[in-house]
Amino acid sequence: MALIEVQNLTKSYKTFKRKEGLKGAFINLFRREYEFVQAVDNINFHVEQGEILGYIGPNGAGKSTTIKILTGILTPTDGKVTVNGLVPYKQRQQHVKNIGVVFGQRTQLWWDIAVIEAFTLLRDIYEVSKTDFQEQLKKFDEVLGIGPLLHIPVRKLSLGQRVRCDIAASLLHNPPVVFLDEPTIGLDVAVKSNIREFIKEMNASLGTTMILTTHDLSDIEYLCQRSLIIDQGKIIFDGDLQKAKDELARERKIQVDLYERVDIDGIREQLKIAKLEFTRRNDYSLTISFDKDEISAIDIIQKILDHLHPRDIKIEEPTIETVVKEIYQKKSF
Amino acid sequence: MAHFRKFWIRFRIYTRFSKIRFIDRLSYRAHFFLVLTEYLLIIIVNYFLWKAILADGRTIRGYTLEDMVTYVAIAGVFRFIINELSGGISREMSGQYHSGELIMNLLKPVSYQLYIYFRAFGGILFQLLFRGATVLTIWALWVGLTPPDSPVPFIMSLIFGVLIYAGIAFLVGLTTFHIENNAGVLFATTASIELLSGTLIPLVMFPSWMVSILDYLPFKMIFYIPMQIYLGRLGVEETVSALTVQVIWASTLSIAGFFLFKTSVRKLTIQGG
Repeated sequence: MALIEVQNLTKSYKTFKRKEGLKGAFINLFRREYEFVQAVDNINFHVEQGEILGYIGPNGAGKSTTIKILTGILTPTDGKVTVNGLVPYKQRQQHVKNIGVVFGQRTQLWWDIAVIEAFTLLRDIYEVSKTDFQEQLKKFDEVLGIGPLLHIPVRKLSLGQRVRCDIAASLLHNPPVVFLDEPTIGLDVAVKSNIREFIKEMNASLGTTMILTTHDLSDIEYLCQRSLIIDQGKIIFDGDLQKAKDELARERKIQVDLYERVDIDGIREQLKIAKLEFTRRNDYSLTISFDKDEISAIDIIQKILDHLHPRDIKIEEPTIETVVKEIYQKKSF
Repeated sequence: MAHFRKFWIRFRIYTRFSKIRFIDRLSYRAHFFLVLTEYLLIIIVNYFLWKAILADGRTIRGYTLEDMVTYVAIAGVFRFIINELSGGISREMSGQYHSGELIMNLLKPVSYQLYIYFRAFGGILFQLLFRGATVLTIWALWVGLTPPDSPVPFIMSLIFGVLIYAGIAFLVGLTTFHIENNAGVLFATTASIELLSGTLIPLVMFPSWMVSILDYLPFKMIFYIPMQIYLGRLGVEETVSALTVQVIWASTLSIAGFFLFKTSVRKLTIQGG
């Protein structure tokens, strides 16, 4: 059995439809109309132990709802969920002992105390031994640089400082399952890459299972072998995004800068390759687009070197963003 | 033995929440003195009122001026506790629901109910040690104060009274899960608690039909009964049965809170974020 099992999971909300304006507000007092919102619609997936699963989707797709069900905060309308053999929303206190949760947008620390006090409180709650705790602190200080922050009250931390402390706090007890909900939101490049390294290292050395939600697809590219894409409550992609990139995004572009003025018809004549698409960028530069499965880039470059007099050549790979955008637009895969 | 040790460790963790609230309360100096003055003024006004009513050795339903001098002072201090519980439990829960702090607490392997209770207890300890002690010292030196007739039963009864109101305050706090804005419910309960628990006037002074209704409700167990024990108006047997009824109310309300919290969390709908 997989570590995380999700079967036919559905969550719908009843929200009340507000009428606008003064008159509407008055009517609302006496008669209310409700509508059902299907946040998560019959989804199925499982995560094996030691996997880092990317979980992506546009805003309001149902990502956070899924995470909140998996962490035991929300109760599903229908379906079955088990994490580590426990049903999160039924055995909440037992379940949360085994998980670590980072919500990049809200803190997990108690506001009114200093960071170190929050940490020692968590140490006692999760029953972490004092030596393990010291070791963890040392490790977190090396990777996340939290040493100087320990004696600052949580409410006075900046966003970046707070997220770093939050990550440390939620991993203090070495949980076997970790949920990261936009953990790198609003962080600078250096901190971001530190955190990525740390996540990767933790996964490799401890076999921690992780679910990562993010809008930053470079996080996914770097960390996840497998990703789920959810849209309007339904899973529209389950697999390796890198592979999807190879399969879906077949168009490549070569940008060629020349010493002489661009003459597209002339160049087309000279290269003599079918199915190329030429776009003029400016007087001395053009872009050649082609399908990588039909023509190899090497052949094209060879021809360019033989017949033209290029100043510079650049090959453009499609980004993961374009792939994901394509999947969103196709809606199913 | 192992069970006891485990229980003790958990208990120690929850007392940390009390300590955090205690220290937090200590850090607002201006607020401390303002509230102190406000409550002291109310006690003084009440005192002069009773002094006028009970002049020349008059009594009402067995209360002399000397009794009332003590009654208004203890009631005044108890209002700190009521305030702390309303704010630290009901309003706190509502605030946590709206700020999302509730989610954070649900992600911790602790009981939310006990976490909320123990935080409030830390606040009460602060109220008693600092504000309460100050008010009573001033009162004892200035007007005079009769010590409790039997201190141990009084303190027990006071603790049970606090637990009863904690239970009620938790239930009131839970309403925010269902009606979003529970400010009205909160205001109404705090006001009625002050009236029905006997912190404004001794309950015997209410019309008799009201007194007999109040016998079936938990409110008088919050302050009026502890105060009766303080003043030595209950015999040994009556005291024992009063304490028993208190324990029954306190546990019933907290157990109700436990189950209602479970069902309320199940209904929780937090979208987005």
